[in-house]
Amino acid sequence: MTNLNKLIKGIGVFLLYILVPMLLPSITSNSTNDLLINIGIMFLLLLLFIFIYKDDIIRDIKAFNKHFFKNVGKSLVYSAALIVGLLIVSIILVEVFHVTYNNSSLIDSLLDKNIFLLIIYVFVISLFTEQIVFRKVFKDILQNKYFFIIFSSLVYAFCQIGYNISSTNDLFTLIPFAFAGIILSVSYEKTGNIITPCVVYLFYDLFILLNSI
Amino acid sequence: MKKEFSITLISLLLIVIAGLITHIINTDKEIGINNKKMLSNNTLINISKTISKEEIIYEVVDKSKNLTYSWTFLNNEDFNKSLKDNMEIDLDLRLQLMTDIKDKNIENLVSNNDKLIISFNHHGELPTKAKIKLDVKNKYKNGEKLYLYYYNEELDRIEYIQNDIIVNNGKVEFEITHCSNYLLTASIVQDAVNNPKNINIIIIVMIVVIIVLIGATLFQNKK
Repeated sequence: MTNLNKLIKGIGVFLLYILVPMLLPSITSNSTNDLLINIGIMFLLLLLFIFIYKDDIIRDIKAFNKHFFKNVGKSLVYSAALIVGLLIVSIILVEVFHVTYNNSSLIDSLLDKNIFLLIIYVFVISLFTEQIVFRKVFKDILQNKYFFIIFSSLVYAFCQIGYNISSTNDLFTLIPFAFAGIILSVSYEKTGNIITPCVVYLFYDLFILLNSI
Repeated sequence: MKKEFSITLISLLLIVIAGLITHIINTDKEIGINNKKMLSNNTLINISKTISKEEIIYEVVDKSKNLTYSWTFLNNEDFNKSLKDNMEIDLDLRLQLMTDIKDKNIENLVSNNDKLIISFNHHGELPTKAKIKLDVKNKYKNGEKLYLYYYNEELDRIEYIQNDIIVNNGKVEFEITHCSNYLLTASIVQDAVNNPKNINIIIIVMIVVIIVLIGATLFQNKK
């Protein structure tokens, strides 16, 4: 695939990822099932992304399955780094900068409402969509590994909570997300397999879920 | 006789003028009523009511809770009628504000350590829009920008109300139309409904990403 093709695909996927959630409130504002409709639309978006990158994803799944336990083991190491690192970052933010950070609140709130929606949204839609957009798209276009890791992580952090930034104090909350982005991008850069960051994040989400129950 | 009559007439005229002046002054000047009340839970609070042409203000000092706040209602017909009918607020402080409550549901939904939960003994619609001025100097610094959220009990969710509440002289001011559980925080509640969306940041990020990706592709192609 030429660089131009990758660029056009990547920008298209990135724009859809940003613009669709922006338009969702106007679509679902009068609906009583807004949560269900939101999740349904995001699921369709994920299917579209998978379709766009289907060849690469199938290749990566096969490669991951070939050395399944070894790859799961590697993913566990990255997950541990993510969990421990985020814990340290959170402690520093709370104790030193007095900034509250909680990445499990979405799980907590969904856990109260609908366990099925929680599984679909957190463990399928959000997990795969984010890895395709912030890892696959950026890695395909950016050849310099350091630039890819730093830039994709910063964009990931901004896209996670950029909507909510309204003061300089809120900028501190970018740090945990940027850190998570770095670990996930490094795991993809090192293994060259998009399934690895997905599994890393899956372990992290499981850890948060078990903590929440 | 004529002289005495003239003096009496002038005196009466002066009284009328004085009455008129007093009436004019009283309509423009605020009327203050101070009242100390012992609440049912044996806490002594000081309530002062100030009436001006535009507003009716109830200032409350509850020393036992280190709590100072005021209610300001527009002094209009709607309020007075409703006040008469419902007695939603009066010097018995039936409309009492509390900040020392522990609400488990809110605690579960909001992890922000800096939150200040504001609750009222009355729940429901107010007769008219009310401005609350609350002393928060023990919790927040001057100049700090706070967010106001409302806890929707029916849907068990936190709803965003306002984000431009600045702490001024240790006090904050905000308006409400109904009494329920509210909370103030210095940071955004991530999972609240209707949070202010900073679309500008996302648009800037989007443009930067597109420019960087195009630039990187052109640079890599040149190499």
